[in-house]
Amino acid sequence: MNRDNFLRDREVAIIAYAEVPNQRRSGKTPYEFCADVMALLLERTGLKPDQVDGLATMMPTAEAGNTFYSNMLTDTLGLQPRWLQLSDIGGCAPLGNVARAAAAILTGQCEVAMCLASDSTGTTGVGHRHLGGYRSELMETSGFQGPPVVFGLLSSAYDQKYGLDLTALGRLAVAQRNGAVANENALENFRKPITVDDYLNSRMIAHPVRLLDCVMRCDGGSGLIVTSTERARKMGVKHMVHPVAYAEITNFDPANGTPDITETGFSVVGPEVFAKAGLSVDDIDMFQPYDDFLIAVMLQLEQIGFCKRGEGGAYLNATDISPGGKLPVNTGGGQISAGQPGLGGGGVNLTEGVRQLFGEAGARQVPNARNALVTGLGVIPYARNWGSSTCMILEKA
Amino acid sequence: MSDKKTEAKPRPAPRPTVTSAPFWDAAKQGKLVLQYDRKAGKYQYWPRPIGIHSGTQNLEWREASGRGKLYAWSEVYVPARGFEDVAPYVVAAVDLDEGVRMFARLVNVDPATLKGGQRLRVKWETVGEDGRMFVFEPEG
Repeated sequence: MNRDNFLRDREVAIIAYAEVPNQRRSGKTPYEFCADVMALLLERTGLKPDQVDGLATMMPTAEAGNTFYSNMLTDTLGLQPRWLQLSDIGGCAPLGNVARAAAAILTGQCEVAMCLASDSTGTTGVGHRHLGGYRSELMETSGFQGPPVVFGLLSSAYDQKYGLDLTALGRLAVAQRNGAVANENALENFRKPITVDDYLNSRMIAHPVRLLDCVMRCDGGSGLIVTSTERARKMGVKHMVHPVAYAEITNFDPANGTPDITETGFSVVGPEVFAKAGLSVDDIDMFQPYDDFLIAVMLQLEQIGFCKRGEGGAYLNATDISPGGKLPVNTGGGQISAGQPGLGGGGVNLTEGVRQLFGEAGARQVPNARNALVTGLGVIPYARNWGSSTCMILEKA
Repeated sequence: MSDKKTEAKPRPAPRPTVTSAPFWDAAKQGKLVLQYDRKAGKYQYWPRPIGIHSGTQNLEWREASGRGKLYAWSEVYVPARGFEDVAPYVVAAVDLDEGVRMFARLVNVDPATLKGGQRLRVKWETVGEDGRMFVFEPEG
């Protein structure tokens, strides 16, 4: 295995994806969504349950407090994995699990890994959780409840340093919404176009964060089958996508007591993933960034290197980010316009990248797409930027 | 019973840990205290069970100046539980003179005239029976 980039030799392949339509309040559990996704994955690959010897999933908010979740999931699904992974790196978990599954496959711990992501926060809400540490003790006691407030502060810091271009964010909102209109898995009430004015006039939540800056929590699930390229060839699969480079960082810059919160872990993992892949931003055919708030997408464009610091707004104003454009961005609507199935939300961006590279994106297909940059972003820390940042480059075989 | 909708919900009370208990005990006296890492010679906040600058547990509590400057802020229109009575309200990231950043609510401010870097000082509000909570206001 190559230690500089364990994915370099393309020995691992994603051979199937599945996603169920996002729903606002389904009444279903994360287990039920995982079952829906697994049935689709087995149907699409011809695999039998006893041929799946690896399982990776994430901690759903709806199951918070169940410390036996992944084990119960194996029992629910009738799987007997020899490698089992539960990831809790917030929204980064679905993408992080592809890298973890690849490492497990390359080290012989399993051969066929199913990566599942699901949650039901539309049904359960998030109020049933007990968040220890700073969240309940030092944030909720000061009137900080929920991500929009912290993203309001991030927007304030950005605005003071660079100036916040609301029209550019509105253009991003419009482009992503167009993706949702063409995405049959997007939340039903988001499948109609919006305008920049709709964005600007949407209700203020935590200044300057508006309603249309934010994701909507919902229920849903998605998943992938990851295996060795050798096994995939033996199976005679129709489509293969290789993860070719991955970088991850958690708790960026912890020693800095008063950091610039507009700087994030993407300033590390963005350049790193390109160095590992031997590519530059100009080689990227589409960008499927984790999007809980619009400004997070703009910051990623800057810190990964598509443009300079403070130029994200100008970049969005000058660049065609539609499926036929220079850099297609969140072509299926992203989470902001397709819905955020809780902590499985990263699967929305990831699945769209794989779907595009399989050439199955229908009306929103990116023409001649060879690769995709997919990211994850997770967890809100105390008085700093987000907790985990991940980047992966996917390449069509 | 009064109409449930008009009842003010109680402010959430902190549940101190073994580590943070001295912070909240000091708060009851109207004192803001911070952990000082004696090995590294640096302050840290929020209260943690280890010194993040030195990796040792050579920590002591020191009273802070309670003064600092405004780093970032947001006017909150959808209030957190227990803050319905003051909405819309302003929250902020405040950089203390000791080199640490705190999240706090701002009082006695007009959000339209706030400026990054402006001086702030701590102020104490009474919460519930005997609790006290820090907020910040412009330095007089």
